[in-house]
Amino acid sequence: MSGHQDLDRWIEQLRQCEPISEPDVKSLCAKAREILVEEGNVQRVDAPVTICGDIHGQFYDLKELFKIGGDVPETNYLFMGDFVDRGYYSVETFLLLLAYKVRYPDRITLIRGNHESRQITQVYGFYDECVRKYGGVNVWRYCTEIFDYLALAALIDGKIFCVHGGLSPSIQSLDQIRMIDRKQEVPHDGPMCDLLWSDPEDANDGWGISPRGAGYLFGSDVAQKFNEDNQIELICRAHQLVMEGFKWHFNETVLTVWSAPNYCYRCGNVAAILELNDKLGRNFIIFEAAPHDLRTGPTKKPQPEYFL
Amino acid sequence: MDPPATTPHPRNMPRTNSQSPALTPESDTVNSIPDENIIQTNEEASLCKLDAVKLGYWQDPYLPMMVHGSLRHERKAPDMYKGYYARVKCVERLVLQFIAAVRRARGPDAVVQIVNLGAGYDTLYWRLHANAELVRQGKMRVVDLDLLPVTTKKCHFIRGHKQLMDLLIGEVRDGEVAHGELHSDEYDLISSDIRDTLQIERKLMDNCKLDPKQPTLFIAECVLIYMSTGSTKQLLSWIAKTFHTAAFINYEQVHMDDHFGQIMFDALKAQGCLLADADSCKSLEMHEQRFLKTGWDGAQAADMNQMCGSLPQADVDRVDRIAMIDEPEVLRQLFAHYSITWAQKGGADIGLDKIRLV
Repeated sequence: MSGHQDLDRWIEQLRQCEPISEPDVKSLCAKAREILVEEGNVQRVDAPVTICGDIHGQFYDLKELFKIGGDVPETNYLFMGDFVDRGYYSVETFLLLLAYKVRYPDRITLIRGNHESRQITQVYGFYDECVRKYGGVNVWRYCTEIFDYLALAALIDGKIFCVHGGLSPSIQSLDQIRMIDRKQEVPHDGPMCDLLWSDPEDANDGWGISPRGAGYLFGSDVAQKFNEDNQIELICRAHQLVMEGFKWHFNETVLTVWSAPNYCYRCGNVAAILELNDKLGRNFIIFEAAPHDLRTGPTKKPQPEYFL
Repeated sequence: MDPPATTPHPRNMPRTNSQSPALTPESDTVNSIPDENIIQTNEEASLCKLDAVKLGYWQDPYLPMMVHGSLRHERKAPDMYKGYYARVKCVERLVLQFIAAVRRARGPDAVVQIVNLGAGYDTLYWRLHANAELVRQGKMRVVDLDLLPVTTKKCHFIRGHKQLMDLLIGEVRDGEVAHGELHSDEYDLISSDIRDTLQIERKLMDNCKLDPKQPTLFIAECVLIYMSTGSTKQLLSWIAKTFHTAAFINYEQVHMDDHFGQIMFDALKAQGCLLADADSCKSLEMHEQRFLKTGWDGAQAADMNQMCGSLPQADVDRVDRIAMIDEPEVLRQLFAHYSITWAQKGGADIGLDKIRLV
């Protein structure tokens, strides 16, 4: 198929951390939309699969992730959102993942994070990066339109529920998530917002107000009831920086996976991915930021931000 | 914000895996060439502050006159704007507390003296003098001190803006460095290397006519860490010895010995800014001891997470609505690595010892 030739060329180029041309982005996004529109809000995924958390434009660390987790399509991946913002290579990161999605739709699942939003990307860097790299806003428009088509959650073998943030007081069942009309900008509140913004709260039961200003804090009782009601063994989510790469909550019923090592090139954390075998057996892999000498090309070493 | 010129000085940090060049002690001499990279930190910090002001984090009508957005500049993450907001507001609050203490104890005849060390493009004088109530209460003399390349630009900006000139009182005169220094009745802009206490003393006393008997507040924001331990010790001792009543606000890094601190040290070093005295910024207690060991009577230090608690909650909430903080943990970690130290010497009789950071 001629389409594959284009895709393979784009993938090759993006793997070198080189952005593809604006017409190519437009074409890639059009192909991606055809695939994503067919996916459910709660996309079904079969194990074995490797689960990844936030990436945030840290392209060279994503390459490190593929080095330790295996390449696409050899490894089946699920990325739980926040592909863009904060890091220096959001364009290359998101477009590479999207190109993989189009080329190998059954070998990679992308669900939406709270940063896959028009509003947040204008504040946290992706918008500026698009304008800087393409001299205009078109690529940002194409990408943010695709964000609206990303699934909100995934369900692995009917047992592991994966979502970027967490639960919502407006949602008791997976079917309620399936009813959401997801093809829109992330709202400021309501169930779709909560799925992308909420956090587990170890200290308190029930629902709490989130310090983020969106979504909720949910306690162990909330998670337990949701899991029982939906015959789920585990809620797997990302969204929160954890210095050790992953963190268990609530007696191993909720798990945070974080895949951006040395987040913001400053935080000093390690990253993790979770490999699930065909029996849902778990294997965590911890990894650190890519060594600077692996960062090639015209781009200079990313500089973290400090108060001066 | 805008440190003095220092040539890098060696430093021992257990976790450092980067090679600090082995420098000779004389590289910390006052005559070494100002480090452009360190001077540039003022431009960076000022641009970031200007962004924040434009976005509404706080009001400063004078800052746009000092900072010309000629540099290519992209928007920073909201963490950075909130950090500059917290710093500006916390320093401002302590300055106002100092002024209030002096006025309460000494009345309108006392001159409130403020020396901003490594002032950069800071607009403190104009912010204070735009406040009619403060001006009505008595004289406030502000001295901005920085390296000549910085004061030359600041001089140019001040002279070029009627709004800035209008708030200067009395005749505006050139200093001993034409185009690089200026004097007026309540504002002075002087150039000096902060490590050269002899020159600072001469310029403050002779050129700016500061009175060592009047209560004097010194401010340094991200300045001392670029100097050697010895130079800071000399500066703080000289202030304590020279001024009868003095206070100091020091905004600076803290916990520089942990992993985050090490990453910061290496990253800034790679940008040409050596945090030469990071070893003195390992804990809040070390920040306090720096003063207590150089003749000051009291010192308290708090990190910026704690300091945010001293700001009006309604205003912090307002700021958080300007841009959503996407990840509170990232902000908390960043703020845990910056601190404010409040120190005072001879200030018990006017209540400077009663001022609390948080």
